[in-house]
Amino acid sequence: MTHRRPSVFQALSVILAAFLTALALYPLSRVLLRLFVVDGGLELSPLREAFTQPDLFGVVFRTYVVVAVSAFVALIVGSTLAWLNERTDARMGSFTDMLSLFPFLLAPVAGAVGWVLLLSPRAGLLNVFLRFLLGNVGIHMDEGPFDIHTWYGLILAYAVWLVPYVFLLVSAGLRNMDPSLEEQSRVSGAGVLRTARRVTLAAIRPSLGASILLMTWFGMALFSIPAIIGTGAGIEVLSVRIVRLLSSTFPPETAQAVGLSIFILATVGLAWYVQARVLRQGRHATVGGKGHQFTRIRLGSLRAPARIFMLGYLLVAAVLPAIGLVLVAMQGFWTPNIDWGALNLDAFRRVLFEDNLTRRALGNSMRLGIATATVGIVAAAIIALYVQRSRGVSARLIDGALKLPATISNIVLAVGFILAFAGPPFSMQGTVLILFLAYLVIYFPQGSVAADAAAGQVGQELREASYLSRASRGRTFRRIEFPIMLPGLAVGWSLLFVRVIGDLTASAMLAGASNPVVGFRVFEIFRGGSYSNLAALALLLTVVSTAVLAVVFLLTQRKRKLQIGTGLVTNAD
Amino acid sequence: MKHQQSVEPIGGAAALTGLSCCNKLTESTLEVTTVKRRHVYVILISLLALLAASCGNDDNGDTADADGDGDATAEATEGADGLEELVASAEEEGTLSLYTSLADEHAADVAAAFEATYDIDVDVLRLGPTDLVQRFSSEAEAGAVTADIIVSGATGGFFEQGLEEGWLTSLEETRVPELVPDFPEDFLRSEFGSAAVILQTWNVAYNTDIVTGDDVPETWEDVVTNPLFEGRTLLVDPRNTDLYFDVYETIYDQFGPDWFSSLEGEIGFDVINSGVPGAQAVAAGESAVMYPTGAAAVLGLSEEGAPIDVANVTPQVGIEVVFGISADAPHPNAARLMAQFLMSEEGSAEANALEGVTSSPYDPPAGYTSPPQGATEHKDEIMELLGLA
Repeated sequence: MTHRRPSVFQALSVILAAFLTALALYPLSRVLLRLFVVDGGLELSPLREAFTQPDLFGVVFRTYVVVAVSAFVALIVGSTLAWLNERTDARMGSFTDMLSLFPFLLAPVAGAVGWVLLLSPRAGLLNVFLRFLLGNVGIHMDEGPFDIHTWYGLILAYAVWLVPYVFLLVSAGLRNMDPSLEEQSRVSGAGVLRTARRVTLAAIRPSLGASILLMTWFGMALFSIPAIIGTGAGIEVLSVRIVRLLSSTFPPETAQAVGLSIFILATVGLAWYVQARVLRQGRHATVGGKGHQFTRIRLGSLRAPARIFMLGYLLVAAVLPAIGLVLVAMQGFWTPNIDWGALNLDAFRRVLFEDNLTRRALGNSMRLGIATATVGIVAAAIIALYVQRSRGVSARLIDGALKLPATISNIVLAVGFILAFAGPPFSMQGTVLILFLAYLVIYFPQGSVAADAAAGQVGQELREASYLSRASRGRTFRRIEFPIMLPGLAVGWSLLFVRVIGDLTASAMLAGASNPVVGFRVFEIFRGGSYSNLAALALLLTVVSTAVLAVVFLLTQRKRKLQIGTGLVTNAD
Repeated sequence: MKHQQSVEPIGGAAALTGLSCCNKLTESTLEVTTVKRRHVYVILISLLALLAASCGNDDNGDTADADGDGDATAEATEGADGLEELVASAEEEGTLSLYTSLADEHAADVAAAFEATYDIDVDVLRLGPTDLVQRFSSEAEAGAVTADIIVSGATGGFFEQGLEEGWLTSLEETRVPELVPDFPEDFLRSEFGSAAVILQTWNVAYNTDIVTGDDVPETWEDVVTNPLFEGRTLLVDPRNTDLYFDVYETIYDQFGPDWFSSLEGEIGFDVINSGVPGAQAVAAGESAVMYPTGAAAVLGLSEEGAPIDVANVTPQVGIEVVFGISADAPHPNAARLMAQFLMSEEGSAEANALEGVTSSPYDPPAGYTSPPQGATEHKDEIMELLGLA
């Protein structure tokens, strides 16, 4: 092997990876040091306290049940939606392509509150409406028929929130594989379902595996939904317990909280291991320089129900909770006895025009969202390619280190940032910069997942062709890899953007009057203000997010006919 | 079945599992460009720009006094000669950073009242009591003090620790009491180095369509003995903060542990995160009663026309909101002026202007008792009785 001088791009990748890793690990290590190193000696008793907490088994067990069941439901729903969208004529243009993003448009806090408004057993708006309908056919109920503050209510809320991860990865997998395999299967006489089971399912197994890993990861770390819905149901999960340890007593039980995070880490590690084993067993398809031609499956009479199913998901995930919020915002408070004549826009006016702090917060959040998402996703793309190419242990370590923050509570990370950067010599407390850095570290894992998926779509032949034509690594990245990854990266960008503007736990520690952000305002209004203001602000946020995302999508999702890298994918419609 | 020559795992699996591709083509046959000098300059300049951006990014204006206690107190002592001098020094500083756990709109009202009286801008940071003190202490530890004054219920030993660690200046040191000689002595709180300036009693919110006439509770005992409340009671999560135990300890003293057993057993309750969504639930009729709550969330809703009201049940006990002045306050004189404002009769009246929501120490509610010392004495037992251990 001849020696090469390292390219600029290579050097840049390494520097970037090193910088981000340092940024991710330094604050965390400051927190850990403060917890476990006392007067120069190792102090592990807080960890022991963490593992002897009351009802620890119960909390862990409940968390596992909720995450496992909702992940299972999400897997089925998400895969079906992806399959319908990619392989059948139930697809409705770019609209259904974006299906996965809709639940993200509503900040989790707002979504959870929306569901409480809709499905509380007595005063839930949807329940009242259903009782009205049932009453017309002679069935009278005092309560229900649904109750959000139950196991099934909580699992539904989780599942709805997890579906997008499955949808994204399975869609990518379906797009990568050669659909002619399925055609051959059908031509050989196997029906649609049999083909789906035997051919498609086998080929997208890595996507399913990756989805399961992601759902485990993010499902266990999810906070707003179990905090709002689970509390009313008496179901306490790990993430809520961790925040409680950090927020309900002073001084906070940080050591115990960190100890509990280890559970999350261990679980995610286990899922990672299982997934690796599963992957090793099979061979999987990838995309190359060859063209794919396929005919979409015609569903015939099943097309309408399929489309209803897809729209139904959208309804449940985003539209209904939004309607609940709109009604409450316009009424001024929550009531099932809606006075249609008294509906007004006062709450919106208050939030948008009279609250200076909120306006500044909106501006900051927009800027931070765009900056973090852009820097984050580009960095994620570069690092994803770097990790994918190099086989060394160090690359994998970097990847793991950058994904690690997702398993640690945002509050702990934020405290770490305060300890690391708030005081001298950096003196960043109260600035927008410290928020930017914290968000970058906290949300990078989500971006990296999308970037990994996008990187996986780039066929090796294309890279080889580029190198053969004497292009440098940097040029290959700019001209070949990045454009192919762009649709996937745009999705990742949107993910990051929405997450950043919706962040509340880290902002609680780092944002303030000089650097206000919106997610934090939303949560504070939830705890200390009024529902109508909360609803108005959450909806405003949703409208802005939707607008931004729509623009991003229009710019980056190219028409199906022109998918570069996969040659020509022509549709028979 | 056709396969591509090189097999790559899909999606996140690639990086997550470290399974890289089995690339047959060796890159040694390729020519790669060398590092160009201008590329290096670009990288260096970007790094420098980043560093420059992070330093000196001082939105707050005045930075914290790096010397700590000494200078701030010295300034304060000089300014304490008369209210006029204090006002002048404070207005020169021009801004006040207020950290508080008062309800959103109440905090805004207090800030507005202060701004109307003096030519000083108030920046309000509102957080739940324990998040608030955690933030304050983290910043103090990191040497990045942003708060001038913290106004909150005395939670979990924060104020005591603050005095010990030197984060907070005690009331005597600030010499503010000299400017408010009429302040009722009973409400001085020397253990916190402060004074109780806002009294917020814990009360019961109820739905006026469901709970009427004699059913409206008058004492804490009423809420666990009236069958109307069975299955329709909302309890604000006692795990959120120890401040609720001010009233629970008093109830324990007066009615014994049976009160809690009845609540958990005969009455049965649901848990809600905080008083605000709780009030919403009561207004909607989802629950009949909700407690313990301040009156702020409730009265705001009833003004909008919601069928909700608050019952001031006896014994009346609740949070005493105290304040702490940062030892390293960026605007120490403004902080002291706010303290003086809250302790003065006029200022206190303005800070407690919302009738029925909070009370001034100059005019405490009838039947008021101060929260017991050692309010968490029976916390574990109470939590167990409630099934929330």
